[in-house]
Amino acid sequence: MSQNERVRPQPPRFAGQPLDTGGAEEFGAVRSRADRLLQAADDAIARALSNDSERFLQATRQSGGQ
Amino acid sequence: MISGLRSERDGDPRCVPKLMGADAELGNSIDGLHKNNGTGGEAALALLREVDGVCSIADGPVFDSKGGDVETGSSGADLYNAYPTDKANLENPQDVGRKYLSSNGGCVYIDLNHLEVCTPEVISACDFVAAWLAMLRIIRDALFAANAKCSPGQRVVVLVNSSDGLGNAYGSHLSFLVTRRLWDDLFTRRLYPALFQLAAYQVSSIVFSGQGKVGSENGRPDVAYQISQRADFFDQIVGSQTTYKRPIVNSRDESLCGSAHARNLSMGAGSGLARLHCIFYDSTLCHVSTFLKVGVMQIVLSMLEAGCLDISLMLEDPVAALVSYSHDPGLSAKERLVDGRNVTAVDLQRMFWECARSYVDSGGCEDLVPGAAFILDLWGDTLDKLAVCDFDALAPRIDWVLKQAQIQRALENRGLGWSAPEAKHLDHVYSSLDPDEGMYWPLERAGLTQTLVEEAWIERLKSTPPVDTRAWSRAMLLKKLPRECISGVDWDRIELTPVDPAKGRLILHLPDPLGHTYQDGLGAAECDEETRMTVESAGRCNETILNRGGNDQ
Repeated sequence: MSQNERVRPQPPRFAGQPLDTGGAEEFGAVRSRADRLLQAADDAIARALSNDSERFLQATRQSGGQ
Repeated sequence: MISGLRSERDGDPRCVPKLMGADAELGNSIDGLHKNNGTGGEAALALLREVDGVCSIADGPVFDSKGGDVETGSSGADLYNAYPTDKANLENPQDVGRKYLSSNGGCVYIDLNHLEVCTPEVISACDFVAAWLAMLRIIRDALFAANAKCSPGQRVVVLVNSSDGLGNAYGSHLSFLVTRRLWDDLFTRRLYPALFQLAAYQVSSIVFSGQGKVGSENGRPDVAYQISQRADFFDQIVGSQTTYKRPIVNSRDESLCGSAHARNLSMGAGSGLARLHCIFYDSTLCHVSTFLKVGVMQIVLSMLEAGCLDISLMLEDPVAALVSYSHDPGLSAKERLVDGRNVTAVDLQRMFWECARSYVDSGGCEDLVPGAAFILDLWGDTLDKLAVCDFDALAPRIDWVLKQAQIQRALENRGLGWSAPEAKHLDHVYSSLDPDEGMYWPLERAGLTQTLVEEAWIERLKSTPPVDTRAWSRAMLLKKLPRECISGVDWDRIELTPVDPAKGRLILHLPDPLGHTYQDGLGAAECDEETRMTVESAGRCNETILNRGGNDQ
């Protein structure tokens, strides 16, 4: 790939999967996907809650910003 | 002439493409380092040092990983006491150590102890999503590098959120290019209806733009979970301030389009332009939330410029309505419009959508908002799902819905309630930038969230500027010019070190945010002959910089 090609615009930029905006998906499929969605974060949640939550909340105290 | 104008009247543009960008403060701290006032400053500095960029002012502190001016937080050094006091940019704690990135034209700096990330200017909502996520990845790389240098038992934590749950809010700001005419209407000439319409739009738009938050702050009524992180912190409908009594619509007047843009001046490129500085929104991670947050705003601002919004779309009390809507994740709260109707946030959004549909269908957004028809479709479909509270379908799209479902499940599994510290812990961890800590990232990795931009495009915008805005010229000039030749950088200029100091400052002007693009080439940068000669003599290997077309880069 030449330098010229590297900086040229490269549309389209949408992700490969088609976007479902029609709302026609089966209820069961939506429910199933939602279940998998929630389960996917279980490890991260378990890791977080294996620590002291109150200490974490104090440690992440911020300054007021804009 | 300003690039991309739709039309002009009396020398002023009537509407302009809705170029935009973000400047977002991150929640940052050092876990394992204890200080009474928090460790935000130390964490921000440790991160800033790991980002490669060009200092925005001459003789500024280096703050890089090869040898910064102060020690990192792990040594316990106090951030501001450690700064040399004779450096001009350190006098403003809202703008410390600013660096512009030669990689993509964005910038980073420290604002009130928060690392602040600014995307390069973009025109399309899809590019915004990619640029925003690219900037987060740049900071994630800095996070890894900073943590590799941390003392044992310490680590830098970065949260992509907007409040700490302890009463401190920090902004995730957006900027939109608008006409000076609209800016004047909003803040000085026709507050009614333009300002009130914009406020009504923003307040109700939290249904797709909120990140979600456990609990309330700033003296607002108790609530288990609310839609917006920032809603509790707005006390006024309009104002120029950003750190206290925050306004829903911010009137900061700073166009960043060169000196000719300023009010009452009408000469040269940039005249008639203004920047709407929007301090209202939350930081978001879901592609769809982020896309709609900026894309719909582009459409609404275009309609405001055209005067096409329904006059009835104004809330009687926008500040109160914001809290009411945000504290109601069941989406049933109703607020009164000025015409007496009581509507939910989703009802109000649907009214804006109906106006937008007519406007877009009639070609109103043509050349102003890329992909307006797609934005409209996705906005409408999301409103359909919100109207029936179809949260299963919305979770892959909307941060506040996804976060609520995750925390709800975790609490139920453990027999905990929303007031448990674990709930707030998960609220924060949702947006942790650490891919092993953040609750959002495994969902994205598993393909369970709805993505709008390709992975390759996000990666591309880490290292390459957008080609259709002035960010391209900024980044390319920063790449090509030797750093010792650059004495200052800002959004609309690059200042060069003069060979002969007696000849004064040498400035490359980039006043037109829609110009100075890849297509224009670097020769479009505006400067006098002395500056041009200095740039050319500074070029590596006798390379001609300014006179070469963009296609030769």
